[in-house]
Formats: sequence, C-alpha cells, structure tokens
Amino acid sequence: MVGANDKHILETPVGRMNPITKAGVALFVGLTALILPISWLGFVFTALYFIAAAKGNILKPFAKIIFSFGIPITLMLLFIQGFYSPLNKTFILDCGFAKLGLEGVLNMLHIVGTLLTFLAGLYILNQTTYIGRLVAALNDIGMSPKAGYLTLATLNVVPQMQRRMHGIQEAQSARGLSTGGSALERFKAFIPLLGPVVLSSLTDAQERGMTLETHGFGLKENKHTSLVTNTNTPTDKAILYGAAVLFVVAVVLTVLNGVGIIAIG
Amino acid sequence: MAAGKKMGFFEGIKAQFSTKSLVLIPIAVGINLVGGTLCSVLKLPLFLDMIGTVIVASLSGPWVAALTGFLTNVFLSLIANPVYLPYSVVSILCGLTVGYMVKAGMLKTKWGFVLIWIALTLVNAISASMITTFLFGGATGATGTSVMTAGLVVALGDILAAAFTSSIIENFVDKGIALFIAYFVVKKIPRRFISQYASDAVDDAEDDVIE
Repeated sequence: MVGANDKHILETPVGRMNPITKAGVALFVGLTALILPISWLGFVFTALYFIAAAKGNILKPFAKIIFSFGIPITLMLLFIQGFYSPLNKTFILDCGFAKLGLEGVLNMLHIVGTLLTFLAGLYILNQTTYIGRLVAALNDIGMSPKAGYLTLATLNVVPQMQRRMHGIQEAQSARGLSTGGSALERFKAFIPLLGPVVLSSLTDAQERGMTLETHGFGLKENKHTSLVTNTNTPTDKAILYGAAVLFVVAVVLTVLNGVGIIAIG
Repeated sequence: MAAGKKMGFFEGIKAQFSTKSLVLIPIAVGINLVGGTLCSVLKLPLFLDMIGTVIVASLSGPWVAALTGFLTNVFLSLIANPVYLPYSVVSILCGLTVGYMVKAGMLKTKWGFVLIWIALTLVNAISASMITTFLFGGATGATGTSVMTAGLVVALGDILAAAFTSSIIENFVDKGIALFIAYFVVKKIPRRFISQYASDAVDDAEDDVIE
C-alpha cells in the first residue's frame, strides 16, 4: 500500500493511471489466462507485467514477490500434479517411486501461470495506487458509500491494529509477560496480548461509528461527495477496453475449442 | 455491501447491517489478521484467523460474520497473495455456520461448544480441500499445510483425500483454540458496549454468551 506522499511511485505513468483501469486489466487478463487452455500464456502475461512494474518504479519488490511465490508453488505442484495427477497418460520420466506425467506438468504450468498473472496484476494495482483514490474510483462507478467505507476502513484499520499490538506487547513484557519458553507458555501469552487489542479496537469502532453518523453517513437522500477525484483519460479507456476485448476473444476461442471447431493447446 | 443487498428482502438480515455493525466489521477483520500475526510472533504453529469472525457472529449475527470472513480473504488477497481469494467461500460458510449456531444458543453449553467446534472443522476442511484440489491442483504453496499434503499424496495416492486429511488435522486444533479464545474475549467485553448491538441482531445472540 502506498501513502499519499510516495511521489516516486504515484507520479509514474502506471501510478497516474485510473485505479479502475488497473483493476480491470488485472481481472480481464487474469481470467484470460484462466480460461484459455494454453499452459505458457500466464507466463507471457507475467513477463508483460514486469514491464509495467518497471514503468511504475516497483520492479525490485515486484520481482521479489513473483519469485518468492512462484518458485515454491511450482516445485510443490510439479510434485503433486506431475506424479499424482489423474490426468496423466503420457509419462516422460520414471523416478522409481512414481512416474512424471506430461499432462500433470502442463496442468501445473497452467495453474502456476494463472496464479502469477493474478498475483502480478493485483500487486501492481495495490502497490501503485493510493487507497483513497481506489475507493473514490469505485464510488464513481456506482459502489455504495457503505461498501466504500468498509474497504477503506479495513485497509486502514489493520496496519493500525498491528501497530497497537506492538505497543501492547511491549507494555505486557514490561510487566513481566514472557513470550518465549515452551509452546504452552507461549500460548498462555496469547490472551493477554490479544485481549487489549480487541477491547481497545472495539471502543475505537464505537467512536468511528459516532463520527460517521454525525457526518450524515446514514443519509440516503443525498449523493455522497468525495475529496478525491479521478481522471479517466483516453489512454485509460483504451487500455481497459483492450483488456476487455482480449477477454471476450478468449471466451470465444474457449467456446470454439470446447465444441471442437478449433483446437488450442 | 454485497451480502446485505442480496438478502435485502429478508428484513432480519438487513437489520444486522447497521452503521454500528458496519464499523465493527473492519475491526473484526483486523482481529482475524492480528490473530495470525500473533501466532507468528509467538511462533505457534497455528493460524487463529477466525477469532474476529466468531466475535462478530456472536455480537451482530451470521451474515455480518459471513461478510467479515469474506473481507478478511479479500484483504489477504490484495495485501499478501491472491490465492486467498477463492478461500473466501470457506470463510463465508464458516461465518454462517458459527453465526447460526451461536444464534441457536449453542455457545451456552459445553456440548454446544463442542458441536460448533466439530461443525466448523468439517465445514472448513471439506470446502477448503475442495478448493485446494479442484482449483489449485493440490497445493497453494502459501502454508505449511501444502507440505503435509504433498507428503500425504505419496501415502494415500489421491490428491483430494490428501488435501482433506491435512485440512482436517490443521483445522481441528486451530478452530478449537480460535473458538475458545473468541468465547473468552466476548465474555470480557463490557456489557455497556454489547448492549448497543442488542437491537441489531435478530436474536439477542450476545445474551447467549454473557450469562
């Protein structure tokens, strides 16, 4: 999540893009990778997202998350799907205890490619968008202010609660609570740490509720306004429609493939 | 507010979604996630990511709990990893299960507690292993459970059975402890605070907990 002051990310071409465009691209491109039965497609999309990440000044953390997620899951699924998939018919390698099947490996590549495509799209959306803009953009396309509040509050409250937990942890260890030792002892420390976080957050929730109500949040007669505005440039529209067209083409191709007119993959 | 709007025709459900419940949801999502963070701070091999959902289930009702579960997974999929998104179905089902069982007064008795525990474990294990197997092909790589599943595939030879077994083992301990903690936390919430939710829930669910 970026703050409102992270100019080096927000002032890039990717950062300036309308949040809805980024969300739409993440969704449509991800779905395209999911429905088309082409095992390498997801990796092509992920490679393209690398360019977008570079344009958005987030290449280093982006590469880190893609590889730290991609490599373990590839190995895990290569093992499970490659050796034990019920789809396996053609065997390409005999390891003694089990045989490596081609169909399972292709299935594994399709799953990993799809997951990476979704991960990459959402990561770019998340890391290059100021959250206030995202919620304002969602309200622009008709999401209710209540749902907008839920999204915004959830994204704000969680880091705040984690900070509060840190403070409570220090206070509790100051009065002698041990957070080490045996599993039972560590477990015993759980309630004294969680309890104060929960109770103080509940009081906090009550205050937030009162603030919202005094601002007329429950009113239904008037349209709610936002301090944050979003622009929808021709480039934004072109990119979003491009992604939508890609998805429609993918649906058509999948249907044609399904009824046997063409053969993919 | 998807769940609220969809069930808008059902007045009882609509009544659960007041502004007071609304501000409780983000907090509960936070509690869910803080539970997970605490586990890694204390190096406990658990998740405990349902405490907030159970608390909301007993304060505001089953549908608010379902929305809390859903939002927890949406949050995780945005912040941590999109593999959590399909599992929002699991969280919604669990929220509804606990919510309706608490509403039926089951958190009052020892056996009710055990019943909720068993129901929660089964609902979670069945739905989660279905998603893991049919959507992800057996492992998500996101948790240590994937390693256990990989081991069990060798022993059992079937991906669904392996995913289900590892899920049952993981959930039985985890959900029991989460339920236990949530029970204590709800008991400790001041009555002054709880009373404001009393009119929102269809039933006086919170009275079932505070004896």
